[in-house]
Amino acid sequence: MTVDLNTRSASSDVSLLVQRTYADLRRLAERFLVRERRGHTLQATALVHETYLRLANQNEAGWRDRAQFLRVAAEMMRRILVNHERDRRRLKRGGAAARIELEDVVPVAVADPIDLVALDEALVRLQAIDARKVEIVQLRYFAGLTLEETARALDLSVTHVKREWGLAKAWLLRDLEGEGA
Amino acid sequence: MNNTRWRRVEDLFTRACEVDPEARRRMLQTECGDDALLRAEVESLLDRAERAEAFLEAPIAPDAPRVLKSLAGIDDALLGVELAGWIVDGVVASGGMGTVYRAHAAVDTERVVAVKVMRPGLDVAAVSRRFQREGELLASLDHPSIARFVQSGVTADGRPFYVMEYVDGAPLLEACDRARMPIEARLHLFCAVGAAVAHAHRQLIVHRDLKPGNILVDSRGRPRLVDFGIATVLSPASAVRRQTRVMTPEYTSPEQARGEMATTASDIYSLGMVLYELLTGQAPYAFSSYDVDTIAKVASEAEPARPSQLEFTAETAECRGTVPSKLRRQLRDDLDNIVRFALRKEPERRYATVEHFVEDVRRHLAGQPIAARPDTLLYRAAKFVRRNRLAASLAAVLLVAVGLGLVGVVWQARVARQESRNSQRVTELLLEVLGGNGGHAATTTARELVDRAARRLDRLSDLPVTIRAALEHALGRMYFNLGDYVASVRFYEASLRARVAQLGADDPRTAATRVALAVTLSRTNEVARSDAELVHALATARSAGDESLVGDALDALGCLRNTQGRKPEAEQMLREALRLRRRTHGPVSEPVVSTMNNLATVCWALGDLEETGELLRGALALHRQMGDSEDQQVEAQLTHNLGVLHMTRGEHQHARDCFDAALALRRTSLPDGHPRLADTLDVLARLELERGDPCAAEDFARQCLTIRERALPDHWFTDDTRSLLAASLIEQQRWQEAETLLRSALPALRHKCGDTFDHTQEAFERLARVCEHVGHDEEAAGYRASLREGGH
Repeated sequence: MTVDLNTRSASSDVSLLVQRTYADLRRLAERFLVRERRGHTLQATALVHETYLRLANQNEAGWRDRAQFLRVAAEMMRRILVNHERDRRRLKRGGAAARIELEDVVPVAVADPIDLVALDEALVRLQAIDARKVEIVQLRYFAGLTLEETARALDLSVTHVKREWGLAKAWLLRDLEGEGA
Repeated sequence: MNNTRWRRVEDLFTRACEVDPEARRRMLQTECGDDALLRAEVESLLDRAERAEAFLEAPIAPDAPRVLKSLAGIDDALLGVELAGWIVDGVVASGGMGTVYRAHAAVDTERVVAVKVMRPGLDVAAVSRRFQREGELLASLDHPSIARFVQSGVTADGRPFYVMEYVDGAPLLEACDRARMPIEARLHLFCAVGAAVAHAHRQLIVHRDLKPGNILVDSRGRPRLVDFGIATVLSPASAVRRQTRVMTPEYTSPEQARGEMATTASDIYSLGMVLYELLTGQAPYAFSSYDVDTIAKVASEAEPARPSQLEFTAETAECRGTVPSKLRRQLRDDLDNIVRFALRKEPERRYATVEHFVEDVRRHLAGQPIAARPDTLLYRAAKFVRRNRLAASLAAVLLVAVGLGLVGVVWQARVARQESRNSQRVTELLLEVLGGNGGHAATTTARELVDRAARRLDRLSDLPVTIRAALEHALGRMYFNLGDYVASVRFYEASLRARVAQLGADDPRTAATRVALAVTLSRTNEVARSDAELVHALATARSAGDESLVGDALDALGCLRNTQGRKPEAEQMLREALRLRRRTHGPVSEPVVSTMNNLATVCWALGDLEETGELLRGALALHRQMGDSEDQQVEAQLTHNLGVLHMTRGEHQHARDCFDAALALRRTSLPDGHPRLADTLDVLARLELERGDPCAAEDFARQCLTIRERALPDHWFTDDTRSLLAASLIEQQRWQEAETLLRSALPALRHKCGDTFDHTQEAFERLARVCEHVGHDEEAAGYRASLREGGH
C-alpha cells in the first residue's frame, strides 16, 4: 500500500508528522476494522501510549497545535481506510500475490453501508470546489469529532460548521447518486 | 464551478434552509431571476438536504474520537471533576506519563494550581511509586525556578495525581522564538535554568527528563522547571538498579538510553541538548524509529553536527533577531565547543558539574576564553582576533605564519603588509608573547594578553625600527578598541615617532598612524592636537595621491569638524570621503558604512532628519548585506544612532528599543567599563528623563558616570554626565544632591567648553532651578542671564 505522504494540505511539519505517525495510525485504523468484524473491544491502550510518546516528542519540536494534528489525523484516517478498501477489492479481483495485512474486514460501521471508495472519489471532487468542506467531513466522519470539537479544530463557530456540514452532506449525497453537477 | 458561483449557491442554500417551503420558493424566484442553472443547482441540493440528515452522522469508527484525541494529547474526561479539593477546569499539556490540568481550589476559586494525572494504560503500580517519589522530592526542592509541589492523591478510578504550583508560561523554545530572543538573551536564560538544576543536584536530585517542554518561561521572562517526574535520588541503592526507562529520546543521554544509571552527568547532557536546540532551533539527531535499540544506538554513536555548521532558514535566524550567516558566526567556536563538550558520549568527559557548564556559558558571554576546549595557543590567538578585530595586523601575521592557511583572516592594516617580509621575526615575537607560560590561561582576558604583549615589547630592545613601529601601531589600535585611550595614544605616539624618524614626516605610512592617533585624541577631547594631525595627514595623502588614505583622513576630520560645530564643512568632507571610499573599497564595504553613519550624524546636527534616517537605514542594510562582517560594533553604533533619531522625533518607545538593542550588543562585544557603553547609557538617561521616569534616568546616568569617571576623567563628557545625573535628581526633588553635582560640573563645563556650549547652557539652567528652589534668587538670576536667547 502506498500513500502519498505529501498531502495537499501539508506543510513540511505536517508531512514530517505524517511520516512519523503514519504507521501507528494505520495500525489504529486496522484495529477499528478488526473490531468491527469481530466485535472485540479495542485494546489500543498500549499502542496509544507508544504512539503518544512519539507525538509528545514531536510536540517538543514545535508540534503543539493539537487542532492541526486532529486535522491531519482525520485526513490520514480517510486515506488509510480508503486505501485498505481499495486493496481489498483488488485482491478480490484476483491480485492473489498482493500482500495484505487484513482481509475480509467490514470497513464501515453504519447501518446503511457507504461505499468508501466512491465517497473518497466524491471528496476529491468536492475538494476542487470547497476544500474546507472536505476537511469538515474528515473531522466529523473519519475522526468522529462532534460539531463543537470540529469547530474548535478549525477555529470556526459551531453555527458555521453546522451550516457547511449540512451543505457538504447534501452535495456528497447528490454526487454519490450520480447526478452531480 | 467557479468560486464566486459556489459561494452564491452556498448562500442561497443556507438562507433557503432557514425558511418554510413557500418562502423558499419565493426567495429563489427573486434571487435567481432567469438563471435557471443556478436555481436548479440550489434546488437539487435542497432536495438532498433532508435525506442527508442522517448521512455520515455516525462516525466510521466509534472509537476514533477518543483515540485520536488521546493521540493529540486532549484528555478532557476529568474536566469539572473535583480532585482532593481542587476543581479541574482545563487541560494544560500532556506528557509521557500523564496529563496536566489547570484547577482551582473548591473553597477559593482564586487559588489556581496545576494537577498532573497519570495517563491510563501504564503500569499503574510502577508509575504510582514514581509519582509518590516525585512528590516527596518536589517537597524538598525550594527554588524560585522550580515549580513548587503542593500535594498528591489518587483519582476515583485509581489514577495517582499530584498538585503543583501553576506556572503561567510558554515552553522554552516557543517563548524564546516568540520574543525573537537573540542568542545572548537565550544564553542568559539558559544560565538561569542551569542554576535551578544545580540547586537540585546539590540536594542529590537528578531531573532525568530535562527538555525544552519541561522548562516554562513565565510572563516576566523567568524560567520555571516542571516535571521532576522521573527524578531519582542519587543513592548507593539506586546506583545498581536498572531503572524503568521513561525518557524522551531526543534529549536522553547515551547512558540512560542504554538503561544505565542516570546521574548528574546525564542532566548535563540533556541540558546540552536543550542548549543545542535553544541556539539552533533543531535537535542534533533525527530518529528513524523510536524503539529502544535505535534510541540507544543513535544516542551512543551519532556525532552531533557543530551548531555553526547547520543550515539555518531565514525564519530560524529571524527568531534570534539576526540572519543565517550571522547566526552561524555567533555559534562558531565557543558555542560549538560548549555544546559539544556537554554532549560528549562519556559522562566523565563532560562538564564536571552544571555550575561548570553555566560558568563556561557566562565566560563566553563575557568574551573570556572558555574551558570547553584545551587552552591552546591557537585557540587563544583566535579568540584574541575575534575580540579585537583591530588585532588583525598582529594576529593575522601570527595565524598566517603558523601555517594555518587562514586566508580569510583580515589582513587589515597596511603596516602588516608592508612588514610582511619581516613576518617571521614578528611571528617569533608573538609566539613568545602569546604562547608564553605566564598567568592562568583559562582566565586570561584580551586585556591581559595585550598588556603582556605591551610589556614584552617594552623589553625587546633589539627589534628593527620598522617592526617595532608596526607593533606599536597595532597595540595602539588594540588599546583603542579596549577603550583605554590613554594607552592607545601612548603607543600611537611611539609608533608615529618611529615612523617620522624612519620614513619621514610626510610618508603615507606615517600619515596612516597620524590618522589613527588623531581619532583616539578626538575621543579624549584633545581636539586641537587631533585637528593638527589630521590636517597634516590629509595634506600628505593628497600629495601622495593615496585616495584610500585621503578618504580615511577626510572621514576622521569630517567627524571632528562636526563636533567643533563646523557643520557645513563637516558635511562637505564626509560627502567627499564617501565618494572616495565607495571607489577605493567598493560600494558595499565597512568603510562606506562607517562614513554613511558619520554623514548621518552631520545631517542630524543640520536638522535634516529625513536624510539622517535614509543614511542610517541604508548603512544598516549594507552592513547586514555584507553578512560576514565580524563586527557587532558597527551594528551597535547604527542602532544607537537610529535610537537618537527616533528620540528626536519624539518616538520614545522606538528609541528605547533601539538603545536597549545597542546596549545589549555593546555589552556582548565590549569589555566592562568601555566608554562606548557609557554613550548608550547617556542617551538612555536622557530618554527616560524626557519620558518622565527620573528614577530610571538616575540609574542609567549613574552607570554612565561610573564608566566615564574611570575611562575619561578629564573629558567634558564626565562633567556633563554629572549635570545629567543632577537633572534626574532635580526631578525627584533631591535638591541637595543635585546642587553638589552641578557645582562641580558647571565650572568644568564652562572652562572646557565655554558658556555658550549646549551642555554648559543646560547646566546653567539646572543650577538656576536649584538656586531658585533653595532661595538663592540672586545667584539664580546670574545663571539665567548666561542663558542664550530662547533657552539653551
